[in-house]
This record gives sequence, structure tokens and C-alpha cells, in this order.
Amino acid sequence: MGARILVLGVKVPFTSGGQDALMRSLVRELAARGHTVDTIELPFVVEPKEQLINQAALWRAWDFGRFGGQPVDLLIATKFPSYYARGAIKSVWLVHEHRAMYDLYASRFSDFSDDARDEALREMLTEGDKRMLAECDYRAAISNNVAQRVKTFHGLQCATIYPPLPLGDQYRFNPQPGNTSSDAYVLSVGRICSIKRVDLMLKAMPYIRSGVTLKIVGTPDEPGIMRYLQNEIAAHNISSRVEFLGRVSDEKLLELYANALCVYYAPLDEDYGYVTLEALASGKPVIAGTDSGGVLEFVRDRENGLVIQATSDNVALAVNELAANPALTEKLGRNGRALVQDLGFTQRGWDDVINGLLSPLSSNSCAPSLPGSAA
Amino acid sequence: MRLAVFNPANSEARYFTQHVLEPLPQCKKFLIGLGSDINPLTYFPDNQDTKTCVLHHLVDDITVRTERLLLGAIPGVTIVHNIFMSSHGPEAIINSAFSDTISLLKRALTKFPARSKEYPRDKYYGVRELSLSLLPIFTDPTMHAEFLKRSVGVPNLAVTSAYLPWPVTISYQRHVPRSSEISHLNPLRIGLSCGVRLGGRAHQLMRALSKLNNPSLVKVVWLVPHEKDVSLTREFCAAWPNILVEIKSGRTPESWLELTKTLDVAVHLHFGMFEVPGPYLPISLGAGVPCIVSSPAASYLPAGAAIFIRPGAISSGGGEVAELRFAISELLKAERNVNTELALDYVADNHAPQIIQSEFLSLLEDNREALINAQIKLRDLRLWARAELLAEIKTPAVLDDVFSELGWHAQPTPPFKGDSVIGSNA
Repeated sequence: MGARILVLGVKVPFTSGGQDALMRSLVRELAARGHTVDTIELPFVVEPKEQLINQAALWRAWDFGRFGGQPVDLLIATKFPSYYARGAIKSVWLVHEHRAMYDLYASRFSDFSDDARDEALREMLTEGDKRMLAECDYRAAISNNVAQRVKTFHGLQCATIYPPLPLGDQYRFNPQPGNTSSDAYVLSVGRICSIKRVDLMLKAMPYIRSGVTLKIVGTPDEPGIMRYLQNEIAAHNISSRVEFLGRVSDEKLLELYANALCVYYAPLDEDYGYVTLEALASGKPVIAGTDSGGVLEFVRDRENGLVIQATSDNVALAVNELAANPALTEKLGRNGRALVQDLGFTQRGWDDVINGLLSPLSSNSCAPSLPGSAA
Repeated sequence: MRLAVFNPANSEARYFTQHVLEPLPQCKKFLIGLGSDINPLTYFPDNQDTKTCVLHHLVDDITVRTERLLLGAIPGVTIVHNIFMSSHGPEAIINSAFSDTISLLKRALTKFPARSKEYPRDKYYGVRELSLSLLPIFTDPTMHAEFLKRSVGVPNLAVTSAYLPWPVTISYQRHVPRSSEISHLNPLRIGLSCGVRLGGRAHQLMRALSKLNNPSLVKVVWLVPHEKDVSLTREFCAAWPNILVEIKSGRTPESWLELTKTLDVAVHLHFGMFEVPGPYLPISLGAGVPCIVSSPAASYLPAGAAIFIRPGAISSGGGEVAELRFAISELLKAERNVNTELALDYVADNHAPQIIQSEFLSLLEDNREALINAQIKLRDLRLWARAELLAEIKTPAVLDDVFSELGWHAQPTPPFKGDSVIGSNA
């Protein structure tokens, strides 16, 4: 008999990203295994940051243990602050905490200053996070990178369970896309925000051989980011070579991956990055940064992609190398596709996920010993 | 009293920690909490006691941006390696409210400033960091002098300030002659540890070398901090194509010490406070390497312990460049005019790690009461800040139980007693 499970997440209205795909896939896979599953998402805002504390408290205030006269068997939390939820056995499959207080603290991506009130806020939430994560009956993270952060900042062990690909084995492999070099394009996929560093790709375009264009899939989720990017496009006179596609259908995304020259994905210290694996599954080399975090758990320089110091000059050099050397591009692509298949990131990877997250429901449960768990 | 020492990211700060702080854990009055088990980002003094003080390092290095921010969030004892920062630091402190924080601690302000308040930029980078240091300890005497000069009339938290030399163990082995003492090396190996900025005076050295009768008799071995500095240094050197230069990255006190074993002369021409010799000059002296130095950064060295160059000197004979050329020419003739014994004695007297450790402890002991008092004031400010934060966010009553469960309610703020005793009241 299936369990009654609630998958908990947060939602920034009008945007979508990896977490949406993760939750949809998880719910689908749980349901396919006979569980009764539903999702609860609360809106999330990062500004003003002082409100983070009320948002966390709201998750804690509600008793998620019983709905419609029936008990809930398991809560699966994903992202800050959904793991503040209570009322039932709780697993966490951590996408990330509020990174501005942790790994992004003191970077340009954090708004926590030395004001004593900011420090008070950071203290309350950091200690709250530790307590809430510690009380989970099972802890896993979506990558070694995220698991290591939990270890570093809270001293808590956390297994790693990589999310399988949202579109399973549907990714197509077209090793020699484009009939002519003028069809070649670089694909960028993901939420459009500064930490994803799409601007480096844009600034590289003037130095990339003519005929190669850039297609950008994703929606902006940061104030002013589109104006900044449009300014860059105007300043570099590259409007004819850059196309913003917004949100696209799954079918269209598969087609875009299949026919790309390569995929640019060089965010700063990414948690995991579906895009990486989607690109590799489609047999496309990934251009990543040496500081791209979880992306580097899969992308290996000159094995299945190019890992560069993240500057626009280096991005241009990398794209030009791939454009000029189809044999190298194809070889890297084939290696990447083989890696994804070897790792089982298509359909069968879900068994590991479900077994781990549901392990607290079995008697004497404990975290499974998983490969890649953070020490 | 306890001292919580964060694990510094910068190599020079780490060197200081290893040679001064790590040997001190058994000290009776001060328990030194060290290193990797203290994560600065999850260290919160409110969970400690008011007898625990944090120790920061202030270094002009992009790798220590977190420490630079935390220095203001959790003020403490600061080992100051540089006072002139090359940037405002992390974006989050560009509009730092540190001046108001100091006023709050001194009770010159009775209300927290509005979140939207904007602050004028510092006149020079580093004002914030020095103003927020409870006990700034300088590793360079000229920087200390500059701080004393500039801090007059400027509100700050300092209970006092001090100079503490870099700890250096003499590495020169008297029974093992240096390679240059066995046979006159060709080319003469000249070590450089500075950057390419004007304060390092490397341009003057290069000009002097290019004017040697035979520049091929010398080779510059230039140790730069990071890999990214190599290309800039190479571009700098391109102006003197006749000078043989080997550029190495990964400068740390340890790597410099290793390099000194292969040097015939070390050049430390730092000029003013804008580039300081750091631990590299005393390490060179302690390695028995003849040193060419410039005042004011090395004006405290005894005459004869090094070859002195007057920075910026202009005379009919050519000034600084001519002096450098002459010094190198003399070294090429093996006429050093440098008393390495004197230099070694100087290092033993002034830089011995045991002396520095003892001096550091004395500083803490002498200021123990003032530091504890400052910790109490800082704790009270933090409690006050939490109450302010909770008032700002207007938490609905329905969340009261959650706030109680998580310990998020405002805690009683002890009233400030008497006048502030932190720092100057300017």
C-alpha cells in the first residue's frame, strides 16, 4: 500500500527553474510507484531579506501531519525554508539553503551587510536552519556540492542523490548538427540572473566566429537583468546574433539541445544544474567555469566539455575551438552522452531517489549508504 | 578570557597564526581557540560568552572578503597586515553603516539608522576596518604610525593599538655556506617579492639592471602571489627585454623562504605604506641573504645590516637608479658591504617567534578588562539589534509559538551602564 506523501517546495511566481522540474518529476515518480502524493508550495521572496524569518516561521506554524482526516506519512522538503515544516516524518532532498548567508556571503550575490540587524538575522536563520535540518529523519542533497555545504556550515552529514533527468531518455543525439556552419548556435538554458553569468556569453559573442549565434532559453528572475543584457547586446552590436526564446516546451527544448553546437553553462558555484546533464544526454559539450560548483561533478575538461576560467575571452576561445573542430566537438559529445547513460540518469535513476527519501518509513530506517555521499 | 581565531584564507595571515598563535593554546589566562573547527560563518558570539573575543586578520587580498565583512559584523582583535585596501571590499559593505554602529556603541545614537540611509564613501579604503578594530595590532611600524596619525579625531573602537613584528626563525645555517659564498654564481640571482605597483619600486630596479655594463650577468627571480599576477608582471618586464626574469606564482612566506636558499641578493624596495615588505624582508635577513632595502619601510634596520637605497632620490649622479646600479655592481664584484651577522642578530633580537608570542600575550593581558568590557557592549548591541529586527518585520501573533520554539524572540536588552569605555570618544 502506498504512503501519503507531501512534497514541499517554494515558488517564486512567474519564474521557473530546476526546482520546478525536480518537483514535477518527483511527484510523477512517486505516483507511478503507487503513492498518494501532492505538492505544497508557498511563495518565496528574497527582498526585503528581513521577511525571510517570517517566511521560515510560516512553514513551521502549519501542522502538515494531517489533512482530510487522514494522516500524512512523509514530508519531503526541498528548498529553504520548506524544511522548517513539521507534523510528520520528514525527509529533505536539499536543493539549497539561502545561499546569501552561506557560500555566497560577502560576494556580490549577497545582501547581508555588517549592520548589526543583518547579523542578528543571519544568526537566527543559520541556527534555525541547523536545527531544522538536524531534525529531519533523512537528509540528502541533490549534489556533493550541496551536501558539502551542509557539512561545512552545520556539521551535518548528508547523502547525495542526484536528480535523474526530467525528460528521462527522450534526449536526442545529433552528433553533427546543422547543414552548414551558418546554422551553428550556442545554447544557454536556465533562469536569467547574474549568478548564471549569461552576460559572459553575450560579451564573448563579438569574438566568436561569424555564423555562430546564441540562443537563450529561460526567463529573467532578477530586477534589471534584461535591461543590463540588452545594453550589452546594443553595446556590442550583436542583436542579429542573439535570440531570447523565453520559456519553451519540452519538445522544443529537446530539439534545441539536439541541434546545438554546444551548451554554455558556467554559473557561479551551481548547486547541481540540470542543464549540464541535459546537454550531456544530448551529446553536447558543455562550456563550464572552473568555479561552477556542482556542474564540475560531471563536466570534465576535454573529456565531455571545456572547463575555463570564467571570462568572456575564454568563453569565446572555447566556442571558437569547438566551432573550428567538429571532430573534437563530436568526441566530447559522445563522451558526455555515454557518461549520462553509465550513471543511470535516465529513468532507472529514480529508484535510488525514492528508496532514499522513503527510507524513514521503513522500520529501523537509516540513511542509505550512497556513492558520493559527503564525508 | 578566550580568543577565537578564524582560519585565515590568506597565506601571510596563516603564517602569523602558525608562528604566533598556534604555540599558545596552553596559556593560562587566554584560551586560544584555533583554526578549522571554528567556521567564521557559523560562529555567533551570542552563543559564546562575553569573555570570548574574535581575532581577525586585515589583509589586502580578494581571498579574504568574508573575513573583511565579518570584521565589522563581529569586531575583535585585528592583526593588521595592511591599512590601505585596494577596494571597498564586498558590495555589502560599500554602504556600510559602521560609523553609526560606533555611535550606537558609544551611545551617541539612540536609534538604529533607517535601512535606506546612505553613507559617504571612505576617504581611503580601510577606514571602516580600522575603526571597527578593538585592538589593532600592526605588523609594520610605518602602518602603525600612519594609523596613529590618521585616527586622531576619528571615532573608533580601539582600546589601544600596537606594533608586533613578523615572527621569523633564522634559517641561515652557519656551517652550511650559501651557494653564492662557495662560488660566485653567474648570473647573480636577484629575488623580488613585491608587486608591479609604484610602491614596490621594481621599475627602478629594472632600470638599474638595464644600465649595468653587462645585464646578462644578473637574473631576477620574481615571486608573485597568484597565477593571475604572472601575465601582468610579464607585461611589466617587457619594457626591459635585456633583463632575464623568471616569474613564479604562489608567493607565501614559506615559498619565499625556500626561494631565498637560491638567491644571491633579495631586493625589498617598498616605498611608503602603499606596499609593505611584509614578512619577506625579515625572512630574507634571517636566511642570511644580502638585502637591498629602502626607507621608510626598513628605516629601523641597523646600519650595515642591509644595503640602503634612498627611494625617490634624485641627484646629479642619477639618484635611486644609480644607487641600485652601484649596489648590484658591487655585489657582482663580490664586494657586498653587508654584514649578514648583524642582520641575523637583528632578526634574532626582534623577530624571534617566542618574543613575538610573549609580546602578543602581554598585549592581551594588559587590555583584558577593556576587551571584556567591549565584548559586553557588543553583546548588548547585538541583543538590541535583534529587538530592532523583530520590530521591523512585524511578525504576526499567529507565529508567536514558532518564534518561541526557535528561540527567535527578542531577549531582554541589558541597559548600557555608565559611559562607553570603548575606544576614543572623538
